[in-house]
Amino acid sequence: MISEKYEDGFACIDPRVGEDILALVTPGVELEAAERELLTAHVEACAHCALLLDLERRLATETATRLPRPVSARPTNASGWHAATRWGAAMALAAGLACALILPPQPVGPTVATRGEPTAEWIRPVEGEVFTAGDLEIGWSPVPGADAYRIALSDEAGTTTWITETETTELTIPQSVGIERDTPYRLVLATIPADLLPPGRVSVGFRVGGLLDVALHRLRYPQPLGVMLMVLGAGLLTLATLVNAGRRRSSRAV
Amino acid sequence: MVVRCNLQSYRVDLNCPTIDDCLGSPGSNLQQTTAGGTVIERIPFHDAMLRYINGNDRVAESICERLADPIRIAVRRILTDTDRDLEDILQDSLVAFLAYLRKAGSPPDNPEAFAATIARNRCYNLVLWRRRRQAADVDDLADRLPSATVSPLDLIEERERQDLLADTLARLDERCRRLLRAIYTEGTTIESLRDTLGLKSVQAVYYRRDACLKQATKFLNRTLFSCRLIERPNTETGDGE
Repeated sequence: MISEKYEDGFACIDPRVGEDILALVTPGVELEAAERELLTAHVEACAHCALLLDLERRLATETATRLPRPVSARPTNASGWHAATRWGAAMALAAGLACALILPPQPVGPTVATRGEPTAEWIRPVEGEVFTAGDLEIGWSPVPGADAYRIALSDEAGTTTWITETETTELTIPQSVGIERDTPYRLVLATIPADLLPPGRVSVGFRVGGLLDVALHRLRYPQPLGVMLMVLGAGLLTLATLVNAGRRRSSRAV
Repeated sequence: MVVRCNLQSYRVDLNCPTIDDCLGSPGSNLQQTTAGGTVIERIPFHDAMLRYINGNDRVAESICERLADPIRIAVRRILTDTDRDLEDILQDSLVAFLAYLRKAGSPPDNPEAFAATIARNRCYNLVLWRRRRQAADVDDLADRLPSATVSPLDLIEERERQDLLADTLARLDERCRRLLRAIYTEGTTIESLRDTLGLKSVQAVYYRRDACLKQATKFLNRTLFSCRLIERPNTETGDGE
């Protein structure tokens, strides 16, 4: 006994003609006599196209095929538990990613100055944060006893490029300041009166980049909540995949 | 003597030094012989097909001679050299080719490949039937009266055919399955489907239906030959008779 490979079974004898063979059974398609003859002759000689038309005829006439047998059907409906797990995993992953991308990132270094009695902390930006270009909103924690705050912006060389005073703990650095992309800057917070904070110590570094830079930075230094949700989602997804694979194996065995 | 050979499949002409050099080469001219073997006419293959289409039955012989070898080669790749059905497949394929010429009114672009594919499909079909219907020795049943009712084999076969169809439908993607079910079993009108699917014309619905039917045929074709390695029938006894 010798074996022979059958490839994909019947082949069309002339695919250029066979392509249009269903025109023979399509209502409303006006075929010229010669074209109809050609298609009819083709289907009489071509087993592949005869199979196609036979399938069409059987679909139209056999009522027993109304409901495909579920046994060999590709599993499309997962069980409730499985579906819930997958949904949960997807939601957790999405929430984790959203947390990472929307919430401010973790600081890449310390942002708290503890020398002296009072303590001040930068709220935005956090150390090493990447912003998109535009007006930059910054904020810090209030310092007891301070009448006002002096904010100084310095470049990489330490040269102060912009300075302002405010009585609130929030501020917007206008675009007109001319912050350049991909250049490290440092914000230094001082109080009025000045002796409430150690001079020059309450500072934070940041830079301005593109959207991709911002996303990458936030994904690299996500908040713990985002990390937790992503880990939860990935775990659920893995579990659901393993359970699903096990079910498929067992159903194949049956 | 110089004879011009019509190498249609390569779309070039060759200058052959002798008639014999042309015979047997792809697209070579054909000779038609009398019973005594005398060459009475030499015509290009394409012309022979055109003549046959126009009602000249005498060129059928030469067309068959030309196609016999490609068909035999195709058939031998599936059946064995000594298979009893080999010659039947050859004859059936040639008859189908000639019938096609007359009906279609124009020759195919590549007649050899066309005829070989007809033959291959017939071989596949034969192998499928051999798989389904094993040989039965009727000698032992000679004294029994056959039942006049429907054969159980036919009933089983019909059931299997329906199952096969159902399996094929089950493998389609949900969109196709829903569309075919709507058209063929729920009787939804094409106009209604056009509106449901948000399409502009009914032809677009038919286009989708055609794509789904072709996809289903692909599955069906594969399912029929799902045992990708089908054993060749035994040389002497595998013809199922």
